[in-house]
Parts: sequence; C-alpha cells; structure tokens
Amino acid sequence: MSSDFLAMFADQATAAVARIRQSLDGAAGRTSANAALFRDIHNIKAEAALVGVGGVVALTTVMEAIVTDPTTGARQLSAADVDALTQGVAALEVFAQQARDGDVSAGAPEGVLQLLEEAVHRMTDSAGSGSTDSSASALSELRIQVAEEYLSDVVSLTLETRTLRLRLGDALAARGIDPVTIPDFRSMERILADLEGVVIDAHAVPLQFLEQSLHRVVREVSRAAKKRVAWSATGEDVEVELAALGPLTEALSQLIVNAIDQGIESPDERRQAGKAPEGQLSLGGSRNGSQIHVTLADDGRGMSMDRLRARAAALGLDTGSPTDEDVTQLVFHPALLTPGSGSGLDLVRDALDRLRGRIIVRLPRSGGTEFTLIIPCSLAVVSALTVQTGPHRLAIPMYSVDGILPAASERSSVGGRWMLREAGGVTPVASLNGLVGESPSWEGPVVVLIAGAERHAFVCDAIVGRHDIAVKSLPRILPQTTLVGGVAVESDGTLLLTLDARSAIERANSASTVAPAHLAGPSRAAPPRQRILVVDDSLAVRELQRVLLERAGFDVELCAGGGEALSRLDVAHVDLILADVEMPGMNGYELVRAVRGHRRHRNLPIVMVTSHASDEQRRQGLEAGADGYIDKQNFDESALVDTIGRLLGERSAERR
Amino acid sequence: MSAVGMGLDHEIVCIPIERVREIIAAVTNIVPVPGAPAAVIGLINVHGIAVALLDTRRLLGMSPLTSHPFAVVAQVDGGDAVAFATSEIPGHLRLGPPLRDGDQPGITEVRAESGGRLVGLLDVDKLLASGLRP
Repeated sequence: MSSDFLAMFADQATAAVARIRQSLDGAAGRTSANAALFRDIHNIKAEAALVGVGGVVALTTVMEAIVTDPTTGARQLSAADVDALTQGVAALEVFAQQARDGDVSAGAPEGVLQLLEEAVHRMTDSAGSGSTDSSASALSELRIQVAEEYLSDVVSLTLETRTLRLRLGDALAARGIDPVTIPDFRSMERILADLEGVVIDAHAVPLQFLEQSLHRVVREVSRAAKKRVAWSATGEDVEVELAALGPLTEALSQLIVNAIDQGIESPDERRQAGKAPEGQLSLGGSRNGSQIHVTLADDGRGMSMDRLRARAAALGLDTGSPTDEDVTQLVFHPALLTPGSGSGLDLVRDALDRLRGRIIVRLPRSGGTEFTLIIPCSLAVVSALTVQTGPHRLAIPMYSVDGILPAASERSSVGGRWMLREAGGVTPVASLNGLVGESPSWEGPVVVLIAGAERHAFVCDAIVGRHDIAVKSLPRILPQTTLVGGVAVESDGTLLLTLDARSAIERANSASTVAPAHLAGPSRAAPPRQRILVVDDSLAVRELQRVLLERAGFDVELCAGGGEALSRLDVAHVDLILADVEMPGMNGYELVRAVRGHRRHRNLPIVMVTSHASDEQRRQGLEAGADGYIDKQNFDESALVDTIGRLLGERSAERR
Repeated sequence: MSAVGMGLDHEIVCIPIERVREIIAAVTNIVPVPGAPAAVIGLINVHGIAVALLDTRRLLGMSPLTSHPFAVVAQVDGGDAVAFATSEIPGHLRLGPPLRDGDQPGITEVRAESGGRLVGLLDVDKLLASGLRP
C-alpha cells in the first residue's frame, strides 16, 4: 500500500478519533450519540480494511459491537463501555501515527482488545439473563468471520505438516524402522488425518451448493429464451474449495447462458431434428486426485465448426487440424475472446485463469457440447509413481497409472503412430522424453496411463519408486503448463513435479499444430474509456478507488455524498456509479432509489461498496436497485474491475 | 531510494527494497519445468515453497544469463514470490533521483547509484507481465 494512502488514512482516522472523543464525552447512559459514534468507528474500520491495517480492523470491529449499529437496534452505553471505548480510541491514535510513518504491521494491543471484548461479553451475559436489549441478543448469534487468506494459510500449514510427516516416515524407513510400529507415529498420523478432515471441511463446500444457484440460472434463462430445458446433476457431493466457488459460479453461469441461448434449440427445431422437445443440460462433478473436474454438457446443436474455422482463419490462426476436437479449443483462443464479442467466453476464461484452471471442449458423438472445467486443489496427498525421463524426475499419481510393462515391450508403427501389443489389446505408445521436449528414447520401461476412457503408454528412462506426496499447485506466476499438474516437496527438500496424465495423453494424441488456448497469452483488450462516478464520504477510499479505476483504464468522477452525486449526474456523462452505503446525509440505499426513480438515469449500473456484508444489508441494497455488491473487507482490485467490466459489458450488450 | 542491485552479466538492474523478501547466496537444486516459457529457469525450494526462478535478462528481452548462482526473492502482486536469478551477488544500493524513463517494459526509470553507475529500476509486476508472455 502506498505511503500516500497510509498518510491519507492516518489523517482521516485522526479526524474521526477527535469526533469519537467528543461523542464519548458524556455518552454513558445515552443512546442519541450512538449513530454518529458508530459511523465514525465504522468508517475507520472500512478505510483500515482497504489500506490493510489489520490491527485497526480488529479493534474497530469490537468497538462497533459495543456501540451497536443504530439501524439494527439502540442501546445505552454503560460507564464501563465508555471506559473501554476510550481505551480503544487511544490505541487508534497510536495506530494512526504508525500508519503515518508507514508501519502497518502492528496488531491490536492485547490489553485493550481484552477490555473491549469484556464489554461485549457483558452485553452477551446481559442478553442471556433475560435482557430485552436487541443488540445484545444479536451478539449472541455472533459469528466469527475469517478472511479467506487466513484459511488458506491454515491449509498451507496443514499441508506442510503432512509433508513433514512424509519426510519423517521416509527417514525412519531409511534406517530400517517401519514407522507404523511406533505408537506415537500412529497417533500423529491419526491426528493429522483428523486435522486434514477439519481443514478440508472448513475450506470446502459441496458442488451441491453451487448446483442450486446454477439451477436457478437455468430456470430463468430458459424461461426468457422460451425453451424447455431439463436440468440434471451428478457428483454434487464433490467438494470444491471455498475460494473457487465464485469464479466457478461465474464460469458455469456463462456457459449455461450460452448453452441455452445458442446451443439448445427451440422445441419446434428439436422436433424437426428428431429430438425430444425438451433440451438436456447436465452438470457433473468428480475428484481426480489433486484436481476437480466439473463438466457441463448439453444436447443442443453443438458448435458450428465451419463458422469457428472461418473466424479463426480470418484472424490468421492455424485451423489445419484434421479433428473438430482440436479446433474446438480455439473458442478460448485470445484472438477470439474479445470482450463484447457476445459469447462471454472471455469471462469464462478469466474465471478459470483466477483458479489456475483450464477448460476442455468436446463435441460428443451423440451431439451437443461438453465443457470440462479442471481446477486444482490446494490440499492433496496422493500416492505416486516416480519416473526418470531425460533430466526430469516426474511423479505420476497412481490413480492415473494402469500398468507398468518391461523395457522390452514390442512396438510397431501403424500409419506412422507407434502401438504396443499387450494382453489387453493394442495401446498407442509415445516417448515421455519426446513429450517433455528431450530427444525421444525407446529403451526404458513402459508406463501405461489412463485418463477417463483414454489409455496410452509412455516409454520412460527408469522407474524410480512409489510413495505418497503432498501435491501443491504450481506458482501462480507460471503460465499454465499442460503437462505438469503440481509440485511436491520431497523428504530431502527437492521439488518433484507431477505429470498430468490427461494432458500427457492429449498431447501425445494430438497431431495438430493448433496452439492450445491455455498456452496462449491472456488477451485483454484495452478497457473502454468509460466514466465511473465514485461516491464515498471517505477521502482515502475515494482516492484509492480513483487510482485503481484509472489504472484499469476508466475515467473517474468523485463525489463525497449522495446529494452531490445526483447533482453531478445532471451535468456529467456517467456510465456506472460506485457508491458507499454508509454516508452522512443521503446514504447509499437512498442514492440508489433516487437514481432508479430518475427518468434519464434509471438504467445506470450501480455497484455498492461497503463493509456491511450481511445478507440483510445485501438484500436491502439489491431491493433498492443496486446491480452488484463489493465487500470492503475483502476488497481486491481484480474483483472491483471485473465487476465493473461485467456490468458495463452487459449494458453494452443490452444496447445492441 | 534504497534498492537491491542485481548483476546481470554486464549491467545492473534494481528492485525496490520493499519488494525484496530475501537474497539467496547459493541457488541449488533447480527443477526445470517442461513446457514453461524460456525465461523460467525452473523451480527452487524456498523454505518449503516452490518458487519460480526466472532469468532476468531473458525477461528483459536480452540473451540468457551466462550463470545464475544467486537470486533475489521478490514479492509480486497477489502475494506470491518469484526469484530473479543474477550473475553477481546482489547488494544494497542507494539510488539518486530518476534521470530518465526506462525504455524497456519492466524498467521504469534510469537512476544513478551512489558510485555513479547507471542502473535500471525494475517494476516487478510489469516485468513479469511482459517477460512471461508467450
């Protein structure tokens, strides 16, 4: 965070602290001052969350709980509450000074935090003893919100622990000791398994969670398109990580819209084509070792390969592949994914990029289109076969290994392709060395890999061994490399790459020179110079949003309140409003309602940015007419730009 | 301005000191990644985490480093770390004011260090965005 923003935060916090001190003066026994008091504390919290001063966020969160949001209930502050809040204010002053000096690392002082938490406990106790105080009873239902990054840290540390356990087991085995004969080792294994279970539960949600909202999308889109669509889902119990839920929902929702709008035919067209009048759309989930596969399939008309080839050829892309399957991958080629092209597939690819995932498009013989979204898991321990191929040592997850054949396996060339004859029939074979860019070698043992219905053999230099490994995703900075699924740390600290069997088979099968879409660079056309009106009473927040939006290529207008924003709309052209909720005078909800009631501006997209992230407050915002919601406490630049880009894109599409 | 200077055969580029997590004085056990862009030398283990080791010269569009015994681990947007390989042991430099804008993507400014040598100041995120593009 730049020092400019920290200095701005420090100035705002110092001014707010002075007002809070005034409000606290004589506040004991009164409720009338609470609204201003709450707003000042809340604003400091929101700004601290934006500039990343975690200690202030922790402190002000508890202070807010004591004062209580006046919109959800009023309470009288006791003298002890005021004492605790005064201590909190003193700590805020120290934080403001530290932020001015560029130091945001300190946590909330334990003593002060404890004093404030005791005040909250007193409220809770009072509610438990029959008090009718609504705010205290609300506190009894208090849930602790944990930032996603902390949860990710827990996952990462659990994985580290598992890695250490694997190393310890290897070290003992090297000394001729079977680890499972040691009672403490067995206990550690059991506790670690429990810990992994708890962490996975906390960090994962079943696909069923996603399925319900996708079903809603299917109903709404099919009704609007006047098409009949039957929705089915399998594998809903497969769990995906919490962080993947948002991007996955975005990607699948867009694919559903495309499937219904462009893929599935109208009932009349289907009858004429000899199909049932009702189209089929199905969602499938499966866990594949360290990856989750989510498939969306429809039985519509499928892609127009001629049109796709023509568009690709017009852009100079190589469309010489003999198979439609290869050419389908071109739909995600950057050159064809210009925002506003109408397909929305750029959004799908953006979502997959955020997940480090990839997508495979298939055209089943039975018709329709099938998209498989493949996303990595951050916590995966798999049994793996390690092989040497050229200079590389690669681990192959055992669930992908269908057999190992001796080096002398007989192979024959059939139509230029090498085949192996084995007991189970004939299997294509390739040199793994050749696959990883080394000189092909045919002398070593053969590993038969399987992925879905595909089976393929690969000659490697040597089989190294088999053991459990804790697989992590590759560093996000790396462009996706199709052959490598993840990386593990071995007992001696060396890194071991894992081979993704499906990709290896696909690459071996491919005779195409078409570049897979996921190897091509991301294409982001320059954002349009559209104008965003930022409405926020906090100077620091306004400035931060201005910098982020200008960096993303937008023009920005700034207003400090709802009334000023309405006046500005009359004289300036604006494409979207980004508004805070909690503002003095006309608040965010009132601004949204006023814009929606305005003859000329009523269709303007409005995004609310707030730390009021409760479902009730979201509902209020959406009912007022807001188009989107961004949570200040989870504020991130890409979410802001993506949300705005999407809304502006939708608006452009509506105009067309 | 404080920065960490990285020797790239015959020239020096700098990373602002606040972006630097650590300096690795002996880069070992590099694991090449099949199919990765040419600027990716491989992965290295930095305290149990796999970190991409990058050829800083290649990222800047120059010929590859002749040797890369050292590395500077820097933080990038999103909180991840990357390691920039260098041919000489990295060191702390005090830089004067900007003398002109950088001409290559990833070099934002040209400045002089206290000994008078001209050095390029890297914008790590822009460098990665341009240098890792296939």
